[in-house]
Amino acid sequence: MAAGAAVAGGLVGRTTAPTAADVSVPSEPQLVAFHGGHQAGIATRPQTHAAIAAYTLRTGTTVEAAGRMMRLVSDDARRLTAATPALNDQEPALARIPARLTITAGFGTGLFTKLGLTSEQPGGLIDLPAFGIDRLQPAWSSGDLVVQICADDPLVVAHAVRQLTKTLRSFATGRWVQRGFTQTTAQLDGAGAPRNLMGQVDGTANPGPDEPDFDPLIWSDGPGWFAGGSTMVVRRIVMQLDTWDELDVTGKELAVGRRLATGAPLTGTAETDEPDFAAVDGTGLPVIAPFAHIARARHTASTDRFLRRAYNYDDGLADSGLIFVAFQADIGRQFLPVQQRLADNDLLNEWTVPIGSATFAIPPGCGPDGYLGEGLLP
Amino acid sequence: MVKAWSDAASTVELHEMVMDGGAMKMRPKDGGFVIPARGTVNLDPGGLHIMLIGLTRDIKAGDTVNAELELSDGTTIPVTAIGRDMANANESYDPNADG
Repeated sequence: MAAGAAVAGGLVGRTTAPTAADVSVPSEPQLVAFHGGHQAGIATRPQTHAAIAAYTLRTGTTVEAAGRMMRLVSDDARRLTAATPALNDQEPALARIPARLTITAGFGTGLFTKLGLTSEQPGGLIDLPAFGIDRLQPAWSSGDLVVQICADDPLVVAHAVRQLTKTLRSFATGRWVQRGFTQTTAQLDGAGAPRNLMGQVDGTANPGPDEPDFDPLIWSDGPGWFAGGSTMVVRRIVMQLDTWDELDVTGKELAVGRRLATGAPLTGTAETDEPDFAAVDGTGLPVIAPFAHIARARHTASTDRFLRRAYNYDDGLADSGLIFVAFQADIGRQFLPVQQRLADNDLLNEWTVPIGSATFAIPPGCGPDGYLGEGLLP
Repeated sequence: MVKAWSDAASTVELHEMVMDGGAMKMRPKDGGFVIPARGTVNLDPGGLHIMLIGLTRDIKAGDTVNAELELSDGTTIPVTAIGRDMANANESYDPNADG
């Protein structure tokens, strides 16, 4: 450990092996409040395990039925996230594990259409256009209803998925579920953001919940029922790891614009250094290639940033990728320009393929006597 | 607890579950549910329960059902329940079951 810490300048130096005390984060509460002005699971520090499940409303679902549906979903969520069994929980013991469980629900454009509520659809929610890099499969795309379930314990996630799917059975059928994982804080090797399966530090330039910019970037101010809500983009992106392996470290770092070992931009030494996109090397060529991933992904105005909350997936011996998740107040203003720039040109596209895409409006939070979506579905 | 009413049923009975001929059956409990002083009685699927008989309306998942429970001293307690789907709780009703 000592040699490793001395060589990589950007790493927070660790000269002794981590102890058991380092591994836990004892001061962090294990229960995340369900009630509030905003839904949990967005600004919440990412939990280790996630399942994002999309559902299709049954034909003939009325607004009244959808209201009952969201009352039940909210009732399950408020109980489970408080580490108590759901009202008709068939495995109550699985519900009593506190593991920072959050349950976040949202509505796709299809729900607004099917319920005749398109006039209430928030302007910030759009279906994404087709991009040239997309190889979208219907099985991984769209959805009338989404539930994002995250916890530090995979059994807790699995139990919540089952409970909610059973609750939804009267109202909706399952469309897809994307299960993923990330690193806990304790496992980070000194990097500020966790790594993805390509070995990259992933999430460095994310807006932090404590920054003054965060609230207006992530939460919508309405109108009406949607004030305090957000929007969610979920894209399933295959990582072509076998061809990624053909690159050497230099090639990989050129494609992204960051050092693999530390996450530092090629123009800096620490992960949090601002990239200098104008810097040139001795031959006059840009140090960070104009089509490197971070060059194409960077925001052009402070108002078009969004919050990334991605999870890795690894579903077979040769099926790995990223469940890319982004939260923002307005998809068209904040996410779409960046995604368009990446689709038009990004060196990383050689090794990634989007195979699923879905967008959702995330209603504001609710109180103990309310339910998610109450303003839309009375 | 000796009696109950509901806005969703013409008759409401207080039931217990008993083993009869190898199967669990439900039947009205003589005398109602005894609630010990400073104690609790749990009503659970497969155990003591308040049975709605002769539903006067459909109860759909997420619907609210109002009931009123009467204690032996005449006190009444209002209860609000939410309709939920259950895979179990399909036992037969046999008021004459031996137990």
